[in-house]
Amino acid sequence: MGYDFELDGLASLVHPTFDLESTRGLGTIALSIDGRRVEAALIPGSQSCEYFLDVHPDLDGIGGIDARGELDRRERVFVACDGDLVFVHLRGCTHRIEAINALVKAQKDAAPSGGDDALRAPMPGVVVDVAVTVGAEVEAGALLLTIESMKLQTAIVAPTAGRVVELGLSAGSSFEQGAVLVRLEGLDTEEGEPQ
Amino acid sequence: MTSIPGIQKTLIANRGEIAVRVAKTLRKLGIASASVVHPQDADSPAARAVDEPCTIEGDTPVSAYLDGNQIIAIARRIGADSLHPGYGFLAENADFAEAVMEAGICWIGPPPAAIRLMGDKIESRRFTAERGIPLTPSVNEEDDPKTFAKRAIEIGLPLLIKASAGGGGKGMQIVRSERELGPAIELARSEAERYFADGRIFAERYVDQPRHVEVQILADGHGNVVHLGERDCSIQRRFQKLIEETPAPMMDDDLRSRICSQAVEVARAAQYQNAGTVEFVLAPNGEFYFLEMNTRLQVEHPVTEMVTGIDLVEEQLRIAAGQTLSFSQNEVRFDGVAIECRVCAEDPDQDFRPAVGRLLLVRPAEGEGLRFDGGIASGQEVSTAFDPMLAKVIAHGRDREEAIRRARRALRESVILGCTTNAAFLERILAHPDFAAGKVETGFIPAHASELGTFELSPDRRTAILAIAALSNRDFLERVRAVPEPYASMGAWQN
Repeated sequence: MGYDFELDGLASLVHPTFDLESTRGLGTIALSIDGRRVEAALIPGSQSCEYFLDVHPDLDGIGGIDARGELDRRERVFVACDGDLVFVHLRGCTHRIEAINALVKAQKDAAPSGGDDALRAPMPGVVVDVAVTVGAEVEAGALLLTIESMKLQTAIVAPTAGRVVELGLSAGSSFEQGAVLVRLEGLDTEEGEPQ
Repeated sequence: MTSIPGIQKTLIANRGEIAVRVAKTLRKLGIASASVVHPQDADSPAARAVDEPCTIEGDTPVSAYLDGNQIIAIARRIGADSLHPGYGFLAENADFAEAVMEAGICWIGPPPAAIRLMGDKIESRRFTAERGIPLTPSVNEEDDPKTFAKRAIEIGLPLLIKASAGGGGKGMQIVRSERELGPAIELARSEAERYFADGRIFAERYVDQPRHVEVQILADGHGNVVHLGERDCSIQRRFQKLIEETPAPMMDDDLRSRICSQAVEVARAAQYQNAGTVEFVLAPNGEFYFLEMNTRLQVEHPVTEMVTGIDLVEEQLRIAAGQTLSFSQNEVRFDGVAIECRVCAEDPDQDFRPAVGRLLLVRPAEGEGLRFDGGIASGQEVSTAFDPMLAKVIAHGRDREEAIRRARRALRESVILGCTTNAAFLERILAHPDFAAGKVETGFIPAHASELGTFELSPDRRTAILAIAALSNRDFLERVRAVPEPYASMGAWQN
């Protein structure tokens, strides 16, 4: 499953690719960033929050391991995290990036307040397995179904305790981004209180 | 014994970077140091910079630092023989200064009478006008309401119609043509009544594209008054200074010497003692007018220190202890150019909205001619409880070009992580050709707003930043590591 990282008000999708073309050294990870493939490693330096970035292909002169594997163009950066926030100081400017869990975001984007919870697909994919039936009461964290998107599987779990009220898909069904995967109804403890 | 007879232990009645700054000089002189610390500042560099941090309390953090009685009680309790008020808070509160002195504590600042005189805009203008110091020409309505409009026009356009009891930019109307005068007067009067319950208004010549030029004064208790040069503080946003420099750019020596002499005259006439700053408005045509006098040490004092080599806090302590100034006007040396940039927790792209966050890294740039005056450290929480200024980045150079170059490098290489700051924005100002040419005036930032905005990131740059962010994010890395190696097993594996 990919991750949204928001930078300067724009969300970008970043995910590891694990394709066989990866030829760089240990610690280097092949990434797809908005569909663009790069290989990168972030090596800790000796000072607090100091790191050295290796990236291939080099980006605007940043990073760059040459063909012989020489590392003399590593870019020194400063990085620190606070929960989902990442602060990066690169080439004299500081940037603030927010990691957004795609599933949580899709729910936030789609869910109206109150009533029932619809869990929607953050990306197109296919259902691998369905773990519950309509009418089942589930606890928070219970596995509802397993989906696969871009060769990676994700477990869809109940965000809160509830009752399954809609389950239109079965193993093998494919879906579009935004499609309702499963709909839960909150187990109300008080009358009329929105979820 | 300390270096200054009579001053053994000083209480700093302030916080943040100025408390750190004053403590540095106290330590240098062997004077015991104490400061008042609100619990929210308990982990701050200011609390750690002094020998004896003392807790103060209040309904809000700001109210604690404004509680004069509590502060004086603490000074007595710990046996402080002197008190330095810093800037802001109670620094220009004449009643507090008097109370400090009545408690037998040496007040590191000007006499209360001078604070009172210069703290009242109307009084200080009257005082200086009587002594022939140039002021922006103005006329009061109440002197003769029937002829007010006529007298206003005689000042010359453009005009500002202002509320006498006004402040904060309220109750001011700009008049650029005779036609606008009548309605502007009506509006100014009604706003004055509504906001200040006082309908008195006056008209003042409005200087378009003014420069803000101020002069640093030092005066001892023996009649000696010197100036330490002028500072140009024209780069401002919302009437707050962001960049200050000395000497003022594009100023001929004759004008410089006249402004500085006027400042000394004002200080002398007011029988001023200790450090102070006389502020002027400089019009594009070279005329200048007295604006006000600040009876305290100012935020931007480091640029003066770097060019003259004088420790202003030390001079304040010596003067307060009754010493004579150790140098005459002729002995003051001015060497090179210094520029200060105020790094603030705010987002210039969001109309300078204050930013909050937990500081994760504070790493000042180091190098030739650089000075970093900050009251911040990693782990500190930046909130809206206090002023958004985090630190001052100051650069000195043999000439203005070198100072600008060093300041730009200092802003790029200083790293503050955890909170949005205006550091990159400040660097863009310094990089602007009009700044390099010395074409500074108080409307600089709005005038160049479109050129000063954040550049859009190139796709390559964006990709690099995102790669770094992804490789730093714990969740992301866990996902990466969870996939079994080698990547040859196709099919189902749990993410």
